[in-house]
Amino acid sequence: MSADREPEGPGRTVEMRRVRRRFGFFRALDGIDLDAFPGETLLLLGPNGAGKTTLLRVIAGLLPATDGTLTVLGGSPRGDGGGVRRRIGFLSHNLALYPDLTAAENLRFFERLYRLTRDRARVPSLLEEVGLGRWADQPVRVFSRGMKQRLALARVFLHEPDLFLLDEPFTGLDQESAGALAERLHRRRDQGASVLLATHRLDAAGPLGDRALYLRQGRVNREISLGGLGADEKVARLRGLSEGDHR
Amino acid sequence: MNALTRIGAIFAKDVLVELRTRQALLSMTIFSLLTVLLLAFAFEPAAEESVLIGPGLLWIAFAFCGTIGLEHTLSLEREMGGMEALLLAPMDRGIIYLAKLAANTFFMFLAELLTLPFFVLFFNVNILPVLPDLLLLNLVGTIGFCSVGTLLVALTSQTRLKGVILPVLLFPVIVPLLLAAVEGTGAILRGEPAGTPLRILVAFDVIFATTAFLTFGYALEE
Repeated sequence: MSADREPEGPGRTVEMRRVRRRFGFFRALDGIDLDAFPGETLLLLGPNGAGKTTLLRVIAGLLPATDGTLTVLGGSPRGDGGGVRRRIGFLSHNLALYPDLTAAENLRFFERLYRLTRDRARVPSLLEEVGLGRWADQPVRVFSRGMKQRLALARVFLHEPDLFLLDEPFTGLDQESAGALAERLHRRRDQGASVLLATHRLDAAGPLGDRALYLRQGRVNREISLGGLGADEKVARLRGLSEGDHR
Repeated sequence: MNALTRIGAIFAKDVLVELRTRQALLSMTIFSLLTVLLLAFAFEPAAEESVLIGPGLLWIAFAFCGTIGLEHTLSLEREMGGMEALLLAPMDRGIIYLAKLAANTFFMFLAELLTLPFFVLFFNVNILPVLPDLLLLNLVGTIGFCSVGTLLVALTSQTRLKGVILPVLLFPVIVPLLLAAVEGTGAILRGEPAGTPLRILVAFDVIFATTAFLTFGYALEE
C-alpha cells in the first residue's frame, strides 16, 4: 500500500497483503498491507502494542500469519530450506546471544551456522567496527546493555543481508554508537539493501527514513513519504505523526 | 555436509557453554547419584537381588537425571533469545533438533557413565565383564529417551508449568523404552544376550527420532 511507489513491478523485498495475526482473541495485526523496496528505509512507528514487533517477526518467518499473503525476497521466510532467511538480518529485543560465550565466539558460531566462507579477519574487523575489539575475548555475560546491543548488531551485519528487520536497534546505544549504526545502515541501503526499522527513537532513526508507516491497533494508520526532506524536517514530520500517542 | 557442519556447530557450542558453566552435567550427575544412593539404602539389596531390581532402579535414576538435562539445553537457548537466532538461520529446523538430540544424549550418557561406578559400589554388581554390552544398551536407550525428550521439552518450553508438564508428558511415552531398557540391562547383568530388548530400543529410536525430526519446527512455534 505504498503511497509514493508504483504498485506493480518487480523488486519488492517485502510484499504483504491483508496479513492478520491473532494471539487468542487479540488481533496483533489486523489486515496489514505493506511493500518494501530495495534501497529503502521504512520506519515503523506507533505506540506500544501497535503491532510493530509482531509485524517484524511475521516478516522474518518467526511467526506464521493467521491470514493473508506474504512474500519476502521473492519467497517465503518459512520455507525453501532457509534460502530467504539467509538474506534476512533480524534484530529483536532478545538480542540472540550466548552470554557464556565470548563476543568473538558468538560471531564465529553464527559464521558457521550461515556457512560463511572462512575469513579470519571478518570477526575481528566487525568487532572493531562496533567498538568491541578489545572485548573480543570477554564473555558476553559481563557486557553492559549497550555493548550487548552492539554485538547483536554485529551479528545482524555478519552475513551481509539484503533485508534488515530491526526492532529498536538504538536501544542502549550511546551517541557515538548510534551515529555509527546510522552510518552503516545508510551505506547498506545505498548498496541496495532494504531496511525495516521499528523504533520510538525518532531523533536517531528519523533521519534514516525514506518512508514511515504509523501503526495503531494492528493496522496501518498513516503512511508518509520522507523523500527529499532534510534530517531535521524528517524528525519534525515524524514527531507530528506520533503526537497524541499517549493521549 | 552442510547439515553436519551446522549440527556440529550447535553441538560444539552447547558443549563449550557446558564446559564453562558446568551446570547441566553437575546437576544431572549429582541427582543421578543421589537417586542411586537413596534407592540402595531403601532396598539394601543383596548381590543376587541387585541383578533383579538393580536395572529398574538404575533406569529410574537415569530417567530423572535425563529430565533435568533436557530442560537445561533448551533454557540455554531461551536465556537471551538464542533459539530465535537458530530459527532464523538458513537451515531446516530439523537440524536444530538433531543438534540438540546429540547434545542431550552426550550429557546424559556422560552422567550415566559417572553414575555406573556408584551403582557397582552400592548394589554390589560386577559389570566389568559385560561393560561393552551394557554401554551399548545404555547408549541406545539414552538416544531413545532424548529423541522423545528433546521434542517434548521444545513443546512444553513455552508453557508456564514446563517443569511439571515435561515429566507428565515424557514418562508415559517412554514406558516401552524403559521396559526394554530394564529388560535388556537385566539380561546383560545375568550374562545373557539382550537381543530383543536392544532391537526394540533401536526401533524406538528410529521411530521417535524420525517423527521428532519432522515435527520439531512446529513444536517451536509461538
